Amino acid sequence: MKILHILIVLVIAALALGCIGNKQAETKSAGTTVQPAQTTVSPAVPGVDDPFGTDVDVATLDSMLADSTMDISLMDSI
Amino acid sequence: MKYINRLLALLVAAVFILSLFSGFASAQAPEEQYKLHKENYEHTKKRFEEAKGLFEKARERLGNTNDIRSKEELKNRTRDYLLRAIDQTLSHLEILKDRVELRENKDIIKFDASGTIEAQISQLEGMKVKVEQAETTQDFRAIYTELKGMWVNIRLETRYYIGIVLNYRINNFLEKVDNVSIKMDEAITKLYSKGIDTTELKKEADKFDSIVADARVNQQKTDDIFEEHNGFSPDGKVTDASAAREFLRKGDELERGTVKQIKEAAKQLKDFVREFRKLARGKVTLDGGSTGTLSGN
Repeated sequence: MKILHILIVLVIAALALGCIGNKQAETKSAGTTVQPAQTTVSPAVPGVDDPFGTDVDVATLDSMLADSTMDISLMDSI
Repeated sequence: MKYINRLLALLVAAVFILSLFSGFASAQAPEEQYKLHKENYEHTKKRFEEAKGLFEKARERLGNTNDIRSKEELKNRTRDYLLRAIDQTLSHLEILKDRVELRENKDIIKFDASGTIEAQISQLEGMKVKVEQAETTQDFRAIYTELKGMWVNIRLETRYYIGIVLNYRINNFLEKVDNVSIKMDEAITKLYSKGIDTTELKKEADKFDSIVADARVNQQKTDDIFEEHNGFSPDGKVTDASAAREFLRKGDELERGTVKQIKEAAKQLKDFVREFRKLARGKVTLDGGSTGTLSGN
């Protein structure tokens, strides 16, 4: 019975420390639609058509260029 | 009863062990965090645009009214617009912080870019508190002026940081291409020694080398202006916004040009590989080295 109590305490501790269900995506407010981001998925290893793995490099460069163009359209005044 | 207790103990132990694994699994790699922040950026952007639209409409409709209810509504719309604008600035910074902190980008920037971004994030968090407490038009306008001034520097500094990392990656690619050219020459020599006509293959290799040579010329210009980093202090802070803007405009144009050439080179390389496979037909394989293996089908 004692061991059961200890284990329950451990599970609660794990829960409190955020070990269970600690997924950032789930913290978004309910009822909101998250648009799919323009993330670049690139092959992790060179493929048959790309023996030197240049596709991965090109995808990385493209994704960085996209990040550098991010802007906010603030109004001139309020 | 004893049997049930033992069973319960086993069940709880199993849940505990599983919860630990769940903890490990949810610990996010920097790449995953970057992806999540990108998703969050799209989300905050949408909310910002909505708040901006609502504020514009409210200002048009209620700007000249004097009743308390209208004033209250306009105040709430202004507050919401400001909060969403700060949120979007924050999510912009989170993405760029991830970018400079990614494993493969660590130590590329020689100053503490991450620290600068963190300080800006703290400042924006403080600004959100001020917005929540603001009551008068003057309060809101003062915060907005502060936010706009801050955004000018954030935009310039983060573009500079990304530019440095991008520049490093481009140089890395061009170094890697040296080895690719060696492999291409080896492939041509091997086929030629087996009596295979390599005229077309040689043409493909020459085209590749020519594109890469152009990219190198462009890249040298980029390296030069990044060496000067006009408008920025050695620790990456804006010292002259106008000079910084001009430097980044040129840098961006040059980097985009080089990336375009790199894409062409990558496409040309694929044409070379296809031609090589057609000629080699399994008879020739080039392997070893760090850049890849070429083998005929």
